[in-house]
Parts: sequence; structure tokens; C-alpha cells
Amino acid sequence: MWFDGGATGMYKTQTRLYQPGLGRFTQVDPAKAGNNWYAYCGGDPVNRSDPTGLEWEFMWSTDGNGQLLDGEVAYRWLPEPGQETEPEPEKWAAYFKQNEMAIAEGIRTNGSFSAYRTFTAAKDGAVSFFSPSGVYNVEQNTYVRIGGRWHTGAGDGNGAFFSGDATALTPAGLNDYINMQLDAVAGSWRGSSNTFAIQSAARIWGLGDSADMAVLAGMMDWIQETDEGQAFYNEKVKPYAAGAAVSGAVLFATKKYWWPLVRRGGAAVAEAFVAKPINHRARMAVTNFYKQAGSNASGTERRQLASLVEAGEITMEQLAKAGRSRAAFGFSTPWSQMSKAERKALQHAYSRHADQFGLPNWQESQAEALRGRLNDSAQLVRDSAQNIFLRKHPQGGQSVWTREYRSMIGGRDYYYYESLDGTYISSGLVTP
Amino acid sequence: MIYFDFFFLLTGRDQSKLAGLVKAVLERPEPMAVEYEFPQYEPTTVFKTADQLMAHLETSLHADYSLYWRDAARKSYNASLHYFEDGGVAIGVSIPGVTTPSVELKRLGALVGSDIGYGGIEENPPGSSEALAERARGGPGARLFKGKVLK
Repeated sequence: MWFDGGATGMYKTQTRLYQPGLGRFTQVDPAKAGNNWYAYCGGDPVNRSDPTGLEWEFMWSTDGNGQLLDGEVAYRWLPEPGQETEPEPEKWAAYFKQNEMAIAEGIRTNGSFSAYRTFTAAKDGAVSFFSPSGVYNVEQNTYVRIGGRWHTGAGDGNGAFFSGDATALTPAGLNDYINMQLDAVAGSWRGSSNTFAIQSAARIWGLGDSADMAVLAGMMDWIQETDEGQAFYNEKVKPYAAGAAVSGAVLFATKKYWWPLVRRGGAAVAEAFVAKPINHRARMAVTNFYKQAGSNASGTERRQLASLVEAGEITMEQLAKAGRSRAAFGFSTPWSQMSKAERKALQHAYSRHADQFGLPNWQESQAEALRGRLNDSAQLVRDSAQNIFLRKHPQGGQSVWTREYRSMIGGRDYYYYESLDGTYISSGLVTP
Repeated sequence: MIYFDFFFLLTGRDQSKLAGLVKAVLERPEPMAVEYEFPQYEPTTVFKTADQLMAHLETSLHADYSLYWRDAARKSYNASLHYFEDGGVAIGVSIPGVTTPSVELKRLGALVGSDIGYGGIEENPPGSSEALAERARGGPGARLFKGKVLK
């Protein structure tokens, strides 16, 4: 590709002329690929280049899909007029290797399309800028790469920084510039940035890209429907929403290496979660668990469950199963349909706890009615629970995680144990 | 409060011996059933007392049955007898507030004259002599096998 020097403002590829002001070619695609034979780079000149005019390619991609791979550096040199070769590629490579770069971020401008520069951050936090000398034509739009996608903002680009020799830039100056750009982008999003802040936080928390709407929906539910989520939002997200939108996303991209950039709102969110990692997938599962159960669970139990999931003690499948089976409590199978072992278990439980519930003595001919009365008593304990705990509880010789409900009924302290999948274990008096 | 269930394997179905063991583990045993349908869960006969049932079980060597007593002197103390189809019998003892199950296991084993048993929380009674012995031999928790307390 070459630039005509300003006479027409157009670039010429090997086959066609490109008009940057229109963002399109002036001739049809000789290859006639796609639906729009005039489109440049499939309408995405930000992420793609088309040096031949026949086929665009991702400029930043290392995986072929336009996405940077974590832990790798990806860049593609776009030659400017009169600068057809990539300068000092060895220097880039050596620097990246030496400083264990995780990712290359960049601000690129479309003032002349051909100009882009990459700034980088080193493991020790120093921000450096590597670029060939040349004119930095930063005029209107600034692009910030966030979470694998380029975003555009309303900043003016502050061309002063980028006019002239790039070697005059100091790391501190560049850092300030970057922050300024981020502020500018954030400003354009202000007012509707809460969702994006949450999306950014999702990336911080390792929940995936914002396209994962199920994850985001779950997070939104958590925030909107739980006291804990609301408190988190009010404290950590809302005051910094705009900042978090940018800084949070930047942190996601470079969280291990780019701390100097993450020092405003996003940092507050990020640090909170770095200091106290929370498995939000687990929390979402827990929330869904209680939604299905139609139960108001304590925040304590949710935290405990989330911790168990996080620690691998229980699985999402168990939680899901629990959600489905919560309608059952006590001995749910009618006496007439019980196996012999089930009947023995019922009689055993009844005989041990009947006195505690004020129930009559066992009578096999009345077994079905007694089952109902035992269940009623157990249900009363569960439904009246003032406190719910998760704890490891011996059962059948094994130590298993159980859910314990504690209820004060008639001045007496009762318990109700069930397994995490909702299976009744036992219910009775805490203190005989 | 943690309730511990202990089960010990016994030999023979002698009524007086078994009744004596129940009295040994409970201060004031009271039967916890209104009546005793027999065979259990598929009744054709109804015994009015535990003694009558136990007398019948003494000669019905392959009849299985579970019957329970409370301790009128100590709340939440229970005892049970579990007759198995294989002819064996187990005595069960439920005690609240056990802090040293292995110690209690050994004490109760000596009390009922059994060297095979186990203890656990929320344990259902075993279904057979072999199941009890197997649990005592290699199961989890406090176990008593051939007179030795195992953990």
C-alpha cells in the first residue's frame, strides 16, 4: 500500500484505491468477496488491514480471529509512506522477551489510517514506548483496546504528544497521556457505563467476555436481587462506574503487568477482588439455587456455598440437583411405596425423635400417618429457621457437607439437617 | 447436640438375655411402640408387648424385626434390638453428646458383651449380621472388631 502524498488523500493497494475519508475502496473488489465489494476490510478498518486490496486480515491477531492471546505479543507493522520496512524488529522482540510482556496494548488513530503506535507495559510497571520515528497523525478518534476489542472514544487525541519524534516521550508522559485517553473514553460512556463497568468487572473476575450474556445476566441478578450484590455495587462499582469501565477492562487485559495504569476507579474494584477473590460463578449458581427453591437464604449460606464450590468440595451439578429437589423434605416416599430399608430408616428416625417433637409412640398400622406427622414437624423446623448453616456433618460414617436449619420453636432449639442435594437427614432437638 | 448411634453384634435370640442388655444400657427402658405387628411390615399377627414379641422371635430364627426403647430417666437415650433374617441380632444404642466415640464404643461393647460393633452419627441400623461385621471391620468412624477399637 502506498499513500499518494496528499494529492487525493487516497491510498493505493496493489489492486485498488482506498479512500480513508469514506472508509471504502473506490473500485469494486476484484475478488468480489462478500456482499460489499467496496468495503474496506469488511467494514472493520480498526482491526483489519488489506494491503493487497483483495483480502483483509487481522492486524492484531495471533490466533487468526482478531484476538490477542494472553501471554503473547501481537503486532503488525503498517508501513507509512516512505517507511516500507519495519524498524528494529529485533529490538521489539528482545524487549518483549526481556520484560515478559503479557500483551501489547495500543492507541491507534485513524487520522491517516496508516499511523498506529503501540505502547507497552513491562512487568516491573514501567511504561515504555517503542516506535519508529515519524509523524503521528492523531486528530480525531482514539481507539483503546479493551478485552480483545477496540473501542472508540471522543477524545481529541492530544496530537501534541504524538507530533514529532516519539523518542521524546517519557514513560511518565506517555502514562499520563494514556490515562487521559482513558478518561476521555470513559467520559463518552458516562451515564450509561454501569453495565459496561459490570462487563469489565466480569473480565476482571475471569468470567469471560461481555458477549457471555448469561454470565452478565447472572451478575446483574446477583447485584439487583441480593443485599450482598447491591452492597457490592453501591460500594465498589457505582462510584467508579466510568473509571471501572475503562480501567477495569484494561486491568483484565494486563492485570499482572500494568498496575500503574490501574489506579483510579477500576483499581478500587480490582483490588477488592484481588484481595478477596470471589467465585461469582459459584455465587450465581447459589443464587439460582435459591431462586429455584423459592427460598430466602442467608447471605452467610450463600457465601459458604460459594466457597465450597470454589474449593471444589461440591459441584455445580450438585447445586443444580439441589435446586430441583428442594421441594422434598423429610421422608417423602409414602409408606406403601417404601422399600424395607426405607421403612426401617423411617422407624429408626421416628423412634429416636418422636419424643422431641411430642409425637406418639410408633405403631406400624399407623405408619403413614406417623410419617406425615414426623414430616410436618421437620418441615416446621426447616420453614421456621432463623439461621441456616453449612457444615460438615458425619453421616453414615462419612463426613459430608450438610445444610443445617436452626429454629427456636416454643422456646426450644431445633435442628433440621439435609444433604446439599436436599435429601433429608435428620431433625430434632439440639439439646434434649 | 450430636447423637451417636452404636450398633453391636450379639449372639443368640434369648429373650431374657436381650432384655437384660437393654436394661444394661438404659436406666429406665420404656418400649416405644404401641403394638408390635408381625411379621414386620407385612403383619399377620399383632403382639401387645415387646416381651411377647421377643419371646416369639426367640424361636423364629429367621424373622427380622426392629424394636425400640426410650430411657425414661435420660432424655434422648434410646436402645433398639434388630433381629436379622440371618438369625443374628444387633443391639443399638443412641446417645446424645458423645465426645469420645471410641471410648464410648469400647465401654458399650464391654457392657453388652460384644466385640464387634461401630458407632456413627445419623447411622441407620444395619440390615444383616454380615453388614454389621463388615462395617465394623473396614468402615469409617469408630469401630470395634474382635475386641480391638479401630479408627
